[in-house]
Amino acid sequence: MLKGPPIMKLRKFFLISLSFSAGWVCLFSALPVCAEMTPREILDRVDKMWRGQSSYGTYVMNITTANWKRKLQIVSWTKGLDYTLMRIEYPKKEKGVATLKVHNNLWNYLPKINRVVKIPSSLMMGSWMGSHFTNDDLVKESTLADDYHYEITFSGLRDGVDIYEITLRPREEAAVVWGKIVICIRKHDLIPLYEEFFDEAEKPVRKMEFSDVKKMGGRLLPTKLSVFPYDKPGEFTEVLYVDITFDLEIADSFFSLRNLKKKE
Amino acid sequence: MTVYLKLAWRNIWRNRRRTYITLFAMSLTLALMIAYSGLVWGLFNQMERNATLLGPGEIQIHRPGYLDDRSIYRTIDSPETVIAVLEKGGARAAPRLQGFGLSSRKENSLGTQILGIDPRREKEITTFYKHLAYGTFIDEPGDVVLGSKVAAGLDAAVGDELVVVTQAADGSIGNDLYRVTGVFKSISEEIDRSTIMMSLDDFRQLFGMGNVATEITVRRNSTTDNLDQLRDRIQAALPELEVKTWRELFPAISDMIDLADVSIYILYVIVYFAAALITLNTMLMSVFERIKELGIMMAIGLRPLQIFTLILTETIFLTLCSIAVGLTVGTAGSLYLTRHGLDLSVFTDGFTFAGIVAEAHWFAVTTPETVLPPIVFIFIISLLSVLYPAAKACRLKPVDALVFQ
Repeated sequence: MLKGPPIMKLRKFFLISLSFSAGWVCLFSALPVCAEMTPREILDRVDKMWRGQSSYGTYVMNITTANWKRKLQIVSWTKGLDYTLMRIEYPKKEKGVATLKVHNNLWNYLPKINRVVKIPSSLMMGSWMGSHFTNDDLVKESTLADDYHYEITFSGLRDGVDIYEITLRPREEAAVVWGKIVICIRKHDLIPLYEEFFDEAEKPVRKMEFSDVKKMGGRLLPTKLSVFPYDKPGEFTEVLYVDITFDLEIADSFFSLRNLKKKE
Repeated sequence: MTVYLKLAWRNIWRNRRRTYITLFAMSLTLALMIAYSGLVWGLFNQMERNATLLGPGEIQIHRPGYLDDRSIYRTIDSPETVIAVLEKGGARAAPRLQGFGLSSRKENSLGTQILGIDPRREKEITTFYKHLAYGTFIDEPGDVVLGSKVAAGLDAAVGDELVVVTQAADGSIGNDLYRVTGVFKSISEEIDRSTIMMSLDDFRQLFGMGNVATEITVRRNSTTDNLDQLRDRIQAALPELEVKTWRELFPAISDMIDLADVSIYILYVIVYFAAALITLNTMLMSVFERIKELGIMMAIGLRPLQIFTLILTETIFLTLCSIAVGLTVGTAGSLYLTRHGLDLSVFTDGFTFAGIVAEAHWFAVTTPETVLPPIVFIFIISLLSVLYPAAKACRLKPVDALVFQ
């Protein structure tokens, strides 16, 4: 989940915000218990609430690179971990360009030529639509707690905020791309502050920051997510949620190649 | 002086069998060496040609820094002005663009290197256009030619539709439909596995780029021009760009060809050494056979130096005769191999050697470079190999020589 796509990320945030209610319970009724939470419980809290959920959202993606700056507006539908459909609404040139994720498969639809292109697994670490998100961010299905060993490596005040720092290292058998992930989660509402991703040599690769926590779709969640690749200083991608609705009824069949090609 | 020539000539033909055997051995060696040099140089030329003419060209020009970071943003502006400068300087040149994109046909897709070329100019530089396994080269807009393994990976054949998706220069999504018009034969691992080629105009449209090139590839008008000097002249004319020869760009391939060069010379030395032994043996025999006779000549007043000159003259005659025969036969053989080649396609379809394609049909070259060294070498070797018997002969004591059995 740490590697979730923007959408999944956001979906996750709302899940996190669900867990946030649990957090309140902790805070009000059992503060010590909360302080003693295991990392598994923290991760599971997110994961459990995440599963089986669906969402429909609109967000703006701002991409800044050394050579150009772009602003995309995207709508997305998600269901559980298995299904995602994203469609670009703006700019005009790319209107209707869409991405469908079903389990581990990823397709892009290109309205200009009216063709669907399957993204090969060799390009999973490639950029999604020119952003600093990878295709892998979109297809990752399993939860962090399943793929990684986890451990609370810090608990307490950092920069004036009471936080958990959880460090994840891949399980031997897990097919994951990161060598290490460090997550920083705010204790009082279990909203993540940032995630840092490292390669196999434990060299930091990118940082994801979560901010602008506000109520949206009935939940409190960070509505801004920014990715900063360390190898390209000055470049970043930020995702700003405009609107999100949770727990709608979406049939699995909605996530079809036929729907991928719809222009609306 | 003419006495020596007469005497030497007669001496040679006194033992005809021995002379014929020597002549035969030396001419055969020479003829084989000439033909062998021709074949070897032919192979080198072919490898060098394939290393350059099926890829980079002989010289490449880039914006500084491009070679470290092959980005579509490090471009050469208005490449035709650069090309005009190059053409004035006695070279041919073609612009290229290189980028990355996803190529897809039906359910198959592959990450590929996209090479945009100017088909008309590229034909002047490289031989991609005739190195096709199937189909034809890029001719019309929308035509693409695929590397052999790309075609296999996409399960694409000539006539199939190909989708290419890229990130255009402005960050937007570039995508278009193309038609597979040809599939290359094996060229190099890189091209076979990951390259698709399209016209420069199609590339510019796909990537949303203007009148720029990421690379300008250059070929000499004549292969006798010195490549390094040409590079220096181009660099002086285009100080703001980076000019490199293919040897600088691909040191591994360059080193391998040089190494092959060395191995050829080692073989030369072995063959020549054998030739030298034959000559040495013949001369030694002819001296020892005539010890008594040489003793008589000394007894009637010939000085050691005169004996030495006589034997040397004999050798020179013998060598000149061998050269006359060997040169004729060897050059004829070499010319035959130059024209018709050595067709090994019964044994192999050609193979890739350190990333360079060697073709199954092997052609020799016949140039002064391949013919003269064997001649000079055999001449020097015969003179050197006669030194010992000649020295031995002129140190003979007439008294001992006369009674020598």
